[in-house]
Amino acid sequence: MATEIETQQTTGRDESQLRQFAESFLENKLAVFGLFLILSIGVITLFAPQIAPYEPRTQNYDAILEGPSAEHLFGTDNLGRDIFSRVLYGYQTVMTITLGGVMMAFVLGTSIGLTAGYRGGWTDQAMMRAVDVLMAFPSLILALALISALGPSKWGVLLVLGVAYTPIFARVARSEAVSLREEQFVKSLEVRGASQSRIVFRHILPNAVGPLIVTITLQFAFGILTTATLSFLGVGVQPPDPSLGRMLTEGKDYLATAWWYSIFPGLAIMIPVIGFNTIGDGLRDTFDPRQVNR
Amino acid sequence: MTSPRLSVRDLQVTYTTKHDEVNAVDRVSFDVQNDEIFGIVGESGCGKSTLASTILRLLDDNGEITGGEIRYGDWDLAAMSEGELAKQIRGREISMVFQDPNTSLDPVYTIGRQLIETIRQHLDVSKQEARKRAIQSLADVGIPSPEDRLDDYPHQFSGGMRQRVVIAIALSCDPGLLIADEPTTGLDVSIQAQILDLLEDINANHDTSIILITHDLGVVAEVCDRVGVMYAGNLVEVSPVDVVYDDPKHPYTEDLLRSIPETHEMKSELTVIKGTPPDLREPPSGCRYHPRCTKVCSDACETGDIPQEYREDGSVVRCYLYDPAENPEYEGSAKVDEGQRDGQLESPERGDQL
Amino acid sequence: MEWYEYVLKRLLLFVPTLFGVSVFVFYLVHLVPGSPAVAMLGVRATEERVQEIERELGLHEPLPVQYVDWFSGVLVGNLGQSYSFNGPVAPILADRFFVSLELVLLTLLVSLSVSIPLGIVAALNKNSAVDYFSMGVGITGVSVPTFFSGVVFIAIFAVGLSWFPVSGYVAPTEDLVENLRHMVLPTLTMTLVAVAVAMRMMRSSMIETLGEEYIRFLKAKGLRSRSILFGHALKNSFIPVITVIGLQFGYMLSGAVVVEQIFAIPGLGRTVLQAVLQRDYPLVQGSVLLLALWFSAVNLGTDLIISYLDPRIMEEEA
Repeated sequence: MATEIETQQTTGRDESQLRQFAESFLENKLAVFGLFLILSIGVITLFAPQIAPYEPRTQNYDAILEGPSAEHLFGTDNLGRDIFSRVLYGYQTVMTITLGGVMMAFVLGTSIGLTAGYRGGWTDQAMMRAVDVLMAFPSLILALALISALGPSKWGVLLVLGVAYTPIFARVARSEAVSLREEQFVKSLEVRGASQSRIVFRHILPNAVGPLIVTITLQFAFGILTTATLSFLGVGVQPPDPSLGRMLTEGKDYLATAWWYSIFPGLAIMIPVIGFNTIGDGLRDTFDPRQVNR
Repeated sequence: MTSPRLSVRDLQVTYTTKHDEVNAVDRVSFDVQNDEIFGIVGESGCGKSTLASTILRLLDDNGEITGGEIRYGDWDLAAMSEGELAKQIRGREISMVFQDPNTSLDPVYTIGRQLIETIRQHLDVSKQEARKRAIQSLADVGIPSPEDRLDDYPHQFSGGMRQRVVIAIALSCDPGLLIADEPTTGLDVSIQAQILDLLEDINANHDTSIILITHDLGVVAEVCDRVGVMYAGNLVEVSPVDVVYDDPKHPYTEDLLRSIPETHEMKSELTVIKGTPPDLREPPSGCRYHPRCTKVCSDACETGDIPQEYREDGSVVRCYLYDPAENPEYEGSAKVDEGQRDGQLESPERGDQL
Repeated sequence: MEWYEYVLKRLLLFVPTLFGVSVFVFYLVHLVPGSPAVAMLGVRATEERVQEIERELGLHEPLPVQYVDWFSGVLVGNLGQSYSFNGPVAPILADRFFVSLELVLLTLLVSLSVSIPLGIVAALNKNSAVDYFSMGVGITGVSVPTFFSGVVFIAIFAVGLSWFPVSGYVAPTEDLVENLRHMVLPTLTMTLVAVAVAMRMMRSSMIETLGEEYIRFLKAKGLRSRSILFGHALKNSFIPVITVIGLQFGYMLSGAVVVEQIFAIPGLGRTVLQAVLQRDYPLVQGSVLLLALWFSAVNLGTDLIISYLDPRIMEEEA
């Protein structure tokens, strides 16, 4: 869908264009709201140790399953640990994993997609058939399959995200490369004898950046959800690392008596996901004005 | 004197955007006679396409008729309800053909279905009869082996053939008026001539008047009987086609003619007039052409209202050059007199316009 | 190209994908660091037991031989032995497939009957209250983790109001009413996501279609707005929605893992998870293979439906 953006003759984007882009993006209030959410979460994640009032692993048997109060903003869990502090540290875990996984998928997928799309022919066929194979698995099923082999762990989840999201980036990058391949500026670079890798990474990649950024943003939302889901299912982040998903697993047994135990971690997962989704939608509208989504 | 097929009086169309109101069509009056091909020419953005859409009330949501009337038979199209328009007028009495045949047809249905749907919408006929009529319509517009092609999808036709299909649909219920909005712009030059021939042929062999909207004076010369020239939302001149070419009345018409090359070829852009067309959000005072006009004759050109309609050699022209009060050198007496205009309808409120 | 030719072509192209999927699933076991047998049995397993399992899995043969053995088994429905269930994998999966099928079909039914009308109404009334409401549902739907909404639904409708059972499953053949009662909350949980995606697509696709020139031409032909909407715009705008539903199916199967786990429904999703947690590799392989097949078949199916509805698609790919 979001594959057509303006292609320019040169690789750089001049400033006025950037400003125009920023203006049109900022007009989308929902997306700006999303950006605000993400920036806040980003700050919280970076400064979790400074912000958190308690050490996330410290158990306090005098304060078991206490409701939200000034002392414990989000209440405490069954071991008397401060849920607010655990949520902050949980963000660190989930953000690290998602960032790593999405970046890995971006690098792998974009390289595959650009190469396949630019070279075409046999390379394209082979690469895209491999991508088709990965796409044949529902993403969580693929993740579970890989985890069954790798064993459940934080780094396992990161790797799994990286593999599972590679096909999406490959497809987006390929379709951009295929259309850019026919552009005049690429043709003239070829005539001038620029090397293939230079054309692909210095010239085609910057022009395909719009749809790729949209994909990154939306995959970030998915990545956070998947990471939390895997932890919830018990095959993701393992104790003692704090994890939002696992807090929900533990908390759901106390729903009737201590709602805060699962509700706050659940909401905490939603916030960055909403943020990335609205930013992604906003960027897509801005890059691709044909879509009348507003 | 028979009454004209279509009679537009003082038509005004306003688009409302977030920040502005734009009069895209301003006080436009003209008649289309029975069996004539009436051309409307002008540069892009002059309001000619808006005018065309307005007749069938196909304006976008932000556009509305803010004055005037559109008489067809006993109806005033400007005042009719949507339901009545759909039942009595659209596709039945007046049809329209758009610029791009590639996007005018629903891609997921066969052309047969789209033809039959139109016929059954308006005529009380059986499916078999509608099918027969559909085949006849395709034959009429020169589609070879129409029976076989009825079950083809739009994408299986070439651009020119597709436009023929669109015209066939438009003509399938024998309308009295066909509005063709730049029907040849999206086509190859060789195909353009064929489509124009087809329009002439339809006009000659059916009882169908045609309004042809175009930016191309070459097209006008080829097929039109009379021409209206639009500039910045105003119809500045209405003349028989030979008058337009031999003795244009309005300075804009003259400049427009001068801007096409001598070698009579289809040219798609007219660029030589000095200055640029005005921004309709803030139209110039007086005559809207005065900032670019080489024949400004009076203060009224710059400060007055839009000139009224004056009559000269079978033409109607909106220019102070033809007003003895403003242009002392003018020697005729061209003031429009209500009764004089060909096929003029009674419209008592015209006196207010002064 | 005739439609049946296109179908044949797509079926042929499907073969290499299936081959790739089978190779991937087969190779999964060999991705396990060390011996899969040790991984399955734990480090305290006796040497003989490890050897026995390795023999059973044919792990000492060269890889291609192992693959051929395994795949020829798959073709005749022999997916090996499950260690955690102590029985052949295929019949276990067959039972569970139908459980998941019911869940997925119910979800599709409910979500489409909500999302399609809502999307259309939102498109026809851009920037109205309905539109904003649908946008809200859309963003929430794709942002709420399935496990969270599931837990919240349990808290409200099962624990709080006691309208529906907290969890569990009753076969429809046993008691249809009880079966449906048990399916309400799982279906609702899955529906939330499905509604969001289909509705957003329906809305934007309808808006795009209504802006097309042929819609204007239909109006100029004298068609009533209702015939334009239901006779033309709906079919045109529904085509991209079908694609999305096909892709959405993958999320549904993913969601089924979570939902089946939360509500203790013995479906395919829960089986995969149990197999992974138990390191029951034959069961992992079998269930993953079945889920991938299911997903691919649905996607192929939607592609074929689309090409039937929109003949241009065949031309483009020809």
